[in-house]
Formats: sequence, C-alpha cells, structure tokens
Amino acid sequence: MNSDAEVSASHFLFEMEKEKAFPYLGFGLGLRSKHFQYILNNKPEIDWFEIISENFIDSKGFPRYVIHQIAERYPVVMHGVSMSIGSTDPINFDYLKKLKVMEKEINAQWISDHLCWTGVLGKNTHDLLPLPLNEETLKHVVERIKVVSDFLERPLVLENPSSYLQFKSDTLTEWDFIREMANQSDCRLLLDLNNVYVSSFNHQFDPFEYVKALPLEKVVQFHLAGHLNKGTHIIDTHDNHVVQAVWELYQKTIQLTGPVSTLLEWDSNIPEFPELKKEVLKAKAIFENGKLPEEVLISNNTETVSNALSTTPAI
Amino acid sequence: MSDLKQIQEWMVGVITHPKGAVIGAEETSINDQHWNIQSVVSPSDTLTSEQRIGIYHNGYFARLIECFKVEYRGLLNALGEKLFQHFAWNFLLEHPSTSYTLNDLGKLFPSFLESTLLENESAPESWQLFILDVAKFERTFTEVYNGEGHETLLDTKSSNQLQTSPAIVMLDLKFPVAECIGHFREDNFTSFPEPMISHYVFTRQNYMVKVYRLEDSEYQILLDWKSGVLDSCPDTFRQKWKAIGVGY
Repeated sequence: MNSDAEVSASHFLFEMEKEKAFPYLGFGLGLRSKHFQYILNNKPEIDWFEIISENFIDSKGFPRYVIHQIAERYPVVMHGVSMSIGSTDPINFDYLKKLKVMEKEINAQWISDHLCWTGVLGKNTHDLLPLPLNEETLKHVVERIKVVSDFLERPLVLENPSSYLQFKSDTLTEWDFIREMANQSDCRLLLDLNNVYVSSFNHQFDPFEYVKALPLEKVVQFHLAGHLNKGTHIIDTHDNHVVQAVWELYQKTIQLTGPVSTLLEWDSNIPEFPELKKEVLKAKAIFENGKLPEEVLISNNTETVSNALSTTPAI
Repeated sequence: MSDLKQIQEWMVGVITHPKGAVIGAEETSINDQHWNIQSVVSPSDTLTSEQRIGIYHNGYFARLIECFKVEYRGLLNALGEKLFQHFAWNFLLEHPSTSYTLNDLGKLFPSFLESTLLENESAPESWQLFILDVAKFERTFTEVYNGEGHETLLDTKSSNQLQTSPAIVMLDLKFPVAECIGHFREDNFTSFPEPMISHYVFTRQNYMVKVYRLEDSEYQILLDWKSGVLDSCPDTFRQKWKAIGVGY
C-alpha cells in the first residue's frame, strides 16, 4: 500500500494534469438552435457552452458558422450522443474523424459521450441504451475507450446514463462499473446528477451513496437537467426546471468535489435564453452561498420522450 | 457470439418491433431461440420487466417520429396527425436509421411517400401530388440549410467570373408550395392550393435559405448553366442571379 505522502503527491500531480487538460469552466449552458440568433446578437454573459456534436459536425451551413462565432468568444465542450461506446458493432472511425476535425476548429475543451450503446448490426435507435453491467461489458467498454482515446489523442469523458431497466445478467452496480471503468481506462467522468437521481428512483438506490462511491477526482463536469416523474418511474426528459431533490444532490456533491464545471441541459419546451440562464445561475448560487433555490412546482401531466434531439430549423 | 452481442441484438429486435415489445420478444430469435423478456430484464418494485423494456419501445418510435414532425411540419399539418404518423411509422420500419446523425433520417422520406402514395395509382389525385411536393420542398430546405454554400468562398473567386453557388438546388413542382408552405407549417390554411407548374431555385445568402420562383425560360437557362451546357452566366441574368445568391 502507498504511504500517505505518496498518495498525496500523486493526487497533487493528478490535479495539476487535470487542471491543464480539463480546466474549470464555471457555469455553462447547452447550446440549442433556438438561441443561436439571441447569442450572436446579445453576446450574453455566460461562462461556457456545450454543443451536441452531431448537430454540428456535418453542417456546412448556419450551425457551423454559429459555432465558429461562439467559439471565438466562449469556451466550448463537445458532447456526443452517437459514439455508442458500448456497442458490439465496430467503432465508427469516420464519425470520430469528424469529431476530431470539429474539435480542432473550435478548440474544444474536451469531448464527451455516454456510457451506453445506441444500436447494433448497423441499426441506430438514437437512444442511449443501457448496458448489462458485468465483467464482460466492462472489459469491452474499457478496450473501446482506449481505442477511441488513442484516436482522438485525448482522454475521453463519459457520462453516466439515466436508465429504465436493469438486466438479469448484471453482476455489478452502476457505480462499481463506472469506478472500475475509470480506473482501468484513461477516461474522465461527466457526472449527470439528474441521471443519478432518475436511475436511483427507477432502480431504488440512494443517489448520494452512488455519488460517494465514484472516483470523484475523475469527474471533470456535472450535468443538471429536468425530468418527468410518472409516479411509477421517471423519464429523463430535459424539458423542465431542475427538481429540488437534484439541487440538493448537487449541493451535497460539490461539498465533496469542490469546483467542477457545471452545465444545464434543456432540450424540449426550451425557454427563452434569459430564463435558461437564470436556471444555471441557481447552481452558481448553491456553489457560492450554499443556498438552495426556491422550489418550482412541476407538472407531470404531459406525454414526453426522453431527450429528443433534432436540428431542423424553422422554414 | 458473446452474451453482450446477443443481448444487444435481442434488445434492438424487441424495441424496434412494430407490434410492441412483448410480441417483439416472441418474434425475435437469437441463434434460433426466443428469449422471454423476464429472463433478460429484471422487474422493479413498480414496473414489470415488460413495462420497463416497453419504455424503450415507446421511446424509439416516439423520438424518431418527433424528429420527422420537426423537419416535415408542413406535411404533418397537411396530412393530419394520424396519417402522418402512419407514414412515418411505416417509413421507420422500412428504413431504420443506419447513420449516427438524425439529419439523415428524413432523407428518403419524400421518395418513400412517392412510392407508397402512387403505388398502383394510374391517375393520382391532386392532394397526393400536393403532399409529395410539400415533402420534397421541406427536405430540400433542410439540405440547403445544412449543405455547402458560397459564404466562405467569396474572397477566393474573381468577381468578374460568376460561378454557380454550391448551395443552389432547383425544384420543379406541380403546386405553388413556396407561396403557401408558411401557412401549412403554421397550421394556418383552409384548403390545398390549385395545381400550378412551379419552378423554384433554393439559394443561400449569409447562411439563410431563400427560395425564388423562376419563369420557364429562366429556369431552363439556369439548368443549362448549372449543368455546364452553357459556359458562362448569360449577361441578362448576371446581376439578378448574383443578387439572389444563385451565383457568386
């Protein structure tokens, strides 16, 4: 076992490296097409933006122009939904090449995706599907993370998914799986606290126990978002305010991690930019003053789909 | 074959099955074996195994049809929710996404509608032809919006020699879609328009898509210039075509 001094020294070196490769960005927003014009016109004060990579990497039109303009003024992180790191299909290197091109163009701070798979046998469901959590999957995912990181020439950042089912073949908890994955590969973690809460409700575990079991020194980013509680289960809709329980989880988690770049996602029923900004500033207030926001009453009387992503503009 | 690969193939078979997750499981075979949902998926305290995988089944169709509704909003309003869903659902069964991007999802929808609507129709009805024109128009808009333009090429070309913009797309329709598409997308229309041969050119200026109606002769000349039959832009149209972004 290492001595305390050795542990402390290696932790210090790790923090130095993390600071360089994954700087603290503050409080950011997910960039959505609805706000393109507002941002270009008003240049709002916001610390950073996160893009959905797939909405930009193929564009040769307005979205690409917009991201170039925004990247000149704000730090930008690339967040993908199609890497399918857990799929048994071959890795799509054409897709990775496009990520790499965009990363250079906009000087992206880092590239993230999800611990999930999206399809198999060439078919893409465009959903973030859960993986059986066992040793076979762990080995498969760790190997693929290494391939992707080598290709991208930078550590990959992976997000914990929200999920609605568990497999009979699970032998690991999600937090054990993620801890092992992070330890065995060179990946970093995007900790989505709303996803932790959603899955904790759906699978009946304590969300803070999940957080405490993770290698928190590997967490480089938080996600916060709204969801829909259907009574028997929660759907991760990103269509509303962050619920109070998730703010509380955020408050407790940052006491363990210290400052971590924090981002608000809102993908459906998207409000005007100023309201969106107000929502992420609640996170800043918690971080700076420890003050929880006033509770917002959220209706669950809607039919919804978990984070649908489309890029088509209005004619 | 690994267990992981088998589970993934089984799950995609189940959640994309047209008759629901339960029948999907009955009709999905892995190595000639059918797996019971309960043997693969654990129940929770509040949901059965079937209900839990059903969330993914519902989400698959709902999510992708939602994307169609955004891209083809005029078509959705023209057809009505029920008929639109019918076509979108059947399209997904015939053409499941094989791309990493949702931008490609609706690419073949106009040709799918054409083959579906006009199958065994020797004399298609006017509404069917209008529907096809709306689909083609909306898809073209998406492609011009995301495609190559000449915005970044302006500084590298001589202004004396007009080039066709890489953004332009010409569309030959049977209905005046450009003049009414706004009403259909806003769901603010009372009837379908009367047929009228309509030649359009889609252009892009400062990344904004614009659509112009062209007379027969102008449309033909532009076709000839674009395809290289004409060596250069005819003087008659030089000023106008530069102004509207057809050339740069």
